[in-house]
Amino acid sequence: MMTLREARPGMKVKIIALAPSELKQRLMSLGLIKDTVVEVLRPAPLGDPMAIALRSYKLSLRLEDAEKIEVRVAE
Amino acid sequence: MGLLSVALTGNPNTGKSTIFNELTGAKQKIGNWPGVTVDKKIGYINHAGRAISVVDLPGTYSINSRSPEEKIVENYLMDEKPDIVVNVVDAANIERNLFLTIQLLEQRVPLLLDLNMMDEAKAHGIEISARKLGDFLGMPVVETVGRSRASTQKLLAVFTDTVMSDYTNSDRIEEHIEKIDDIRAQGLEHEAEEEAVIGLRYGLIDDIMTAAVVKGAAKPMLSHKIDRVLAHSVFSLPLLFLMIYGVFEITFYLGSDSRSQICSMDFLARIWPHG
Repeated sequence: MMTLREARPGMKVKIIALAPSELKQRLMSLGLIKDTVVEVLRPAPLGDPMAIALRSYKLSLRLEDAEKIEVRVAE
Repeated sequence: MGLLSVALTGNPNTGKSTIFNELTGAKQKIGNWPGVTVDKKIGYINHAGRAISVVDLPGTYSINSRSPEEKIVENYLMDEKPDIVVNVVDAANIERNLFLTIQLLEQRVPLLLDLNMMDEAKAHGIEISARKLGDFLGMPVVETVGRSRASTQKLLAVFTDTVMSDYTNSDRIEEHIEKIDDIRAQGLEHEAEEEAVIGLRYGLIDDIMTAAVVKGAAKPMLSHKIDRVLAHSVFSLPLLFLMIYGVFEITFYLGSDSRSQICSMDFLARIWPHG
């Protein structure tokens, strides 16, 4: 199982599931739902947070939150 | 005719407060970051013989009562029932903005879509057909560019001339609302239900994007180029220190210049309040 946290810059991944968390509903509202393709852009200078792109916009995500998103590499 | 009440809603940083100030002449604090408006503000104007009240609501990405801002927006729309609810959309980020638009349509409020920052959308290579969008959703659509007199006049004319009751949700939107009602009727667990509903909304957004928006090649943005250097994983920190050092050098170079008329203590004494 891979999480968004482990995805490397430049990778395109597809969301499989979101683990329960405080933020889950908010992340879903922002478009982080099953089958959505997310591109990993780059980590911040100190490694946390990370920048991702989805649905024609960019989002900055804490690593601890990215860890709760299960993904697989999108072809 | 009585007072026409208009409420401005939209995502954070879409230009609601700029439009509010242009409309009402108020000097509301505006910042180029989200969350500047945390409470609703109200202003009044007269146009074409109508008295209009305009309320600037806080920016939200959704209305699920999950934060104080969302509650303010939701309660205002439900309790005060404004005559026109303007959904200010950042045209350059239309895909993300449409989530709130759909939620507002689900509530069947008298919605007017304001495609703001159309100039920026064009620079991003995004072409939006206001007519197709309006037809798809079943609502009036106006195009504006934020801080311009033409846009303000256009909005005011739409406020006074548009008969909101002429517009009802399109069949496509009503179909969407039915599907949501079906899901909610299944008695799923809260999160599973939300996920299904949100999935439906994004499915609808995909359809809207296909029907009314053409995304071309965006010109590379200057800020992205600057970001690439300043937020680089290796160079960013040395650059930061270099800049701070630069500020330090400039400060002391200017400060130590004996020919300088402005001695810092002198200067302070001059501007310090007396007494």
